[in-house]
Amino acid sequence: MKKALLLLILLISTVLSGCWSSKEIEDLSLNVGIAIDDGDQLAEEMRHIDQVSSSQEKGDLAVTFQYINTSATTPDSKGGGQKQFTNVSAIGNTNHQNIRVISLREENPIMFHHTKVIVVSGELLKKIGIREIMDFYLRDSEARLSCLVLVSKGPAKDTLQSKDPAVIPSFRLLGIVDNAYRSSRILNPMTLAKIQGESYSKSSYLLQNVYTEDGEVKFSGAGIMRGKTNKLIGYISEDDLTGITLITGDAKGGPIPAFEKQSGKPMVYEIETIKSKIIPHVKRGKISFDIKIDSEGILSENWKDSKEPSEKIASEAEELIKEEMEKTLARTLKKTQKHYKVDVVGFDNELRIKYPKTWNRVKDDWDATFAELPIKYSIKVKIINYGNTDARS
Amino acid sequence: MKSLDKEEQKSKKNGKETKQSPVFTGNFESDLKKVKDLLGENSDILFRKFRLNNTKLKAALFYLDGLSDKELIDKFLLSSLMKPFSETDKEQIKQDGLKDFLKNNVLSIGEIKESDEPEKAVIEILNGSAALIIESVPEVLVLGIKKPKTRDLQEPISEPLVRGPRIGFTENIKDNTAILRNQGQNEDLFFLKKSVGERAKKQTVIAYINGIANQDLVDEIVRRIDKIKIDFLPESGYIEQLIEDNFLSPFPQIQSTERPDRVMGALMEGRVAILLDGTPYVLIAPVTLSMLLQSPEDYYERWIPATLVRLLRFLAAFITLYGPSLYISFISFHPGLIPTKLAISIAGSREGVPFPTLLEAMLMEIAIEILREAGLRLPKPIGPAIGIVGGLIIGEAAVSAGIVSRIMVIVVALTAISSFAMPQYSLGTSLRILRFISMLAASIYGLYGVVLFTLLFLSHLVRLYSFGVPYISPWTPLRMKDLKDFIVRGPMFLMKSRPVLLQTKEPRRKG
Repeated sequence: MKKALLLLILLISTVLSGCWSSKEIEDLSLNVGIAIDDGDQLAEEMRHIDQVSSSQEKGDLAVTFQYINTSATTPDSKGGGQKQFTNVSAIGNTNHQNIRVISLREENPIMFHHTKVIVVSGELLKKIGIREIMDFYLRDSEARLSCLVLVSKGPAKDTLQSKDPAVIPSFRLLGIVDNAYRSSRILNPMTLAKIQGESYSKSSYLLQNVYTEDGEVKFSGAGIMRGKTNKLIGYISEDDLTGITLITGDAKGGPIPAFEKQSGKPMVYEIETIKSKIIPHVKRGKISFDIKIDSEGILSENWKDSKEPSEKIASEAEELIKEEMEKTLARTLKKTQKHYKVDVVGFDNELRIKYPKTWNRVKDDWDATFAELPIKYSIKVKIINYGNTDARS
Repeated sequence: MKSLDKEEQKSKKNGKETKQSPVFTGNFESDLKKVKDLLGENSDILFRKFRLNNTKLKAALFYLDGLSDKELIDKFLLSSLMKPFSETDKEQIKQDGLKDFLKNNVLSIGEIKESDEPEKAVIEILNGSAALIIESVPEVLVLGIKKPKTRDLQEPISEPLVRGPRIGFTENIKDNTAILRNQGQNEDLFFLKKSVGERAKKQTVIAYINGIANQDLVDEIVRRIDKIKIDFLPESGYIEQLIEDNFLSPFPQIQSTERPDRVMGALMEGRVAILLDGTPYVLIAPVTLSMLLQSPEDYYERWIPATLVRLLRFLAAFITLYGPSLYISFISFHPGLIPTKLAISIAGSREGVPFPTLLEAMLMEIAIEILREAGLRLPKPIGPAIGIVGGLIIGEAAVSAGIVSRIMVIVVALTAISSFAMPQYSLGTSLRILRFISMLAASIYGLYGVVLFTLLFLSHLVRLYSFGVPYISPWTPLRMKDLKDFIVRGPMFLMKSRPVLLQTKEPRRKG
């Protein structure tokens, strides 16, 4: 009897509870990308319907959600020229408020499990710290911590546009990151997980910048984030980004051009492997750094005609490329260390590990200290391959 | 059946009437009458009156039309009985008496019994023996000339193999025991005869290898079979249901097989086989879950491919059980766990489907089950045709009509195929039953429900025993020694010990 009763209770409890969190996949909007802009700035541009949500006269955030238009992705409708994504924008004070506005406007609730990128406008980042902007996405368990965070110099919502209906802009941004082995101008992806760490540590860092024009995008340099404020202070160019990836050893590939001194004809070196090391020194309380870069690669293009033996051309080329790299490094360091006065590469970490006592002394105002420190670098380049012809061409 | 019942009633009546002489007397006419009365008006019983040639004695032969060997009767029995006896024969008759003379010199038949009770003689006649009544002899000679109706040995239909013997059991128990004997000369292979059935007796044989099988196990099986009280046993499935441990379990607790090699392998491990006359399905007990996922071929192939095939079967069992329920829980509860591109294409294909996933899955699963059942019952020539038509209609038309999504068709088809990859049909059926329960659990709680279902299902398995042997051994209780032949089929040199939990008399194999 007791057993029967227990069984009954068990059965009833399963049935009565119903399918409480059941929500069929087609009844949800699959969000894949988010663009966060400065609401004040975009207010003029945006349609009225996007703005009525704001309770104040102006909202702080203009958030654009990109979700997949699932009916356009069925095999029958593919290639029909229908856009595969839909962008919805809303202006409001906070992220969460803006998301709930979507529920007032769209048939299906939005779901963030598959969000791939969050693009934040640089202008907004100058005003509000990244910790505040990202707080919702870090708190909420729906968005993956592997979600990519990018900066856009222009309006962020434009990066989620594309002219080709077959292209889903969020996936395009994600795909470009995977091309890092083909270019030295792509940073290691900055994910939500890393943002969490960076926004609480005091050190400065870089965020990959996206340039957009007419529904097309390009990864172009990076935004510099000051560690203390978590706000954007400026940008570095694509070329300067190469310098950063050379120092960090993240340049897994990508061409480095050099020019022959007399003729001015170009030759191109492609990085195959790169090893780099930052060595901190503390002598009588004075901190200095050595950067050692050791790279092997391919002479992939050489415009100059020459009758000299390959070995000689190669060693000349190595010399030229080394100088080119040194120039890049110098330019990059001048920009970050001297101009913006931030350490975005991770010198602080090396110092902290090797000289913890010294670090404790300088850590409170590291960026300012760093700006005055001497940095030396030595670069070794070795051409291991000329491709299918010999070096003379 | 009915005529037999009548026979028994009649014989009881007759027993009362002929109280004075319940035995044969030697009076030909009265003996004849006794037998005739007992047999009644059965059209399939033939009798032939004749004279033992030059002795002038009257004689009669009763036999069963169709079951007795007519050729033997015509060519050897009647001809030798009607042949004139020579002088030396007559002297011999005087010396031995007519009955012994006939037994010793005339009837060239291996199986001869004497009977002085008409009732026993009648039962023998109904079994297919012939009864010879001779004037002045107070006993009836029962001649074992039964020619059982049987078919040729054929490949087992329900368990075909690529590599392995092509022989299967038949409906005749004598053939079946002979096949087992034929598997290898073994003086320790014991056959224990029992006849079971209250109304109609049927022969069962309990086979085991003396010196390997645990005596307690044999005794227990004998005890359970002795306890069977039933009118009639048409098939060994009856025995299976009457002696199994847990009648509520969805799992088969006794293995049935048509393959002599499988039976022999089980006997050599120390298990016991139960054969029943009239069915080609032989029962093996005790059984474990892993046995139902194994095929004799696993041992005939080399161990690496055999292991891979075994792994594949475990995977198929997993898909059979969880395929649709995992799909349901991913689609309705955890869209975040699906890779993005797949999630998009699933969402796209489900666009416009009017049912929730559970209903959609149930619809398709039930359709497939109906198709399977129909294909089974249909006459052979149209079976496959209907299967194709049904499959096409369900698969293609349902998708284009927008009732189900493409991916669901894939899931359901994969699950159906997986359930047929089970080497034992009965296991496939039980897993299919459980699949529906797991689908319901998934539709209520998602993956959490599937986990709950798994816990329930595992706790049942852990409690399930087959003749004292844990059903999921050697997994639980864990016996490291037996793991060599569980998911992995170890190489031959490892296969030297018999399953530990069977507690055999001889734990190590010879050689």
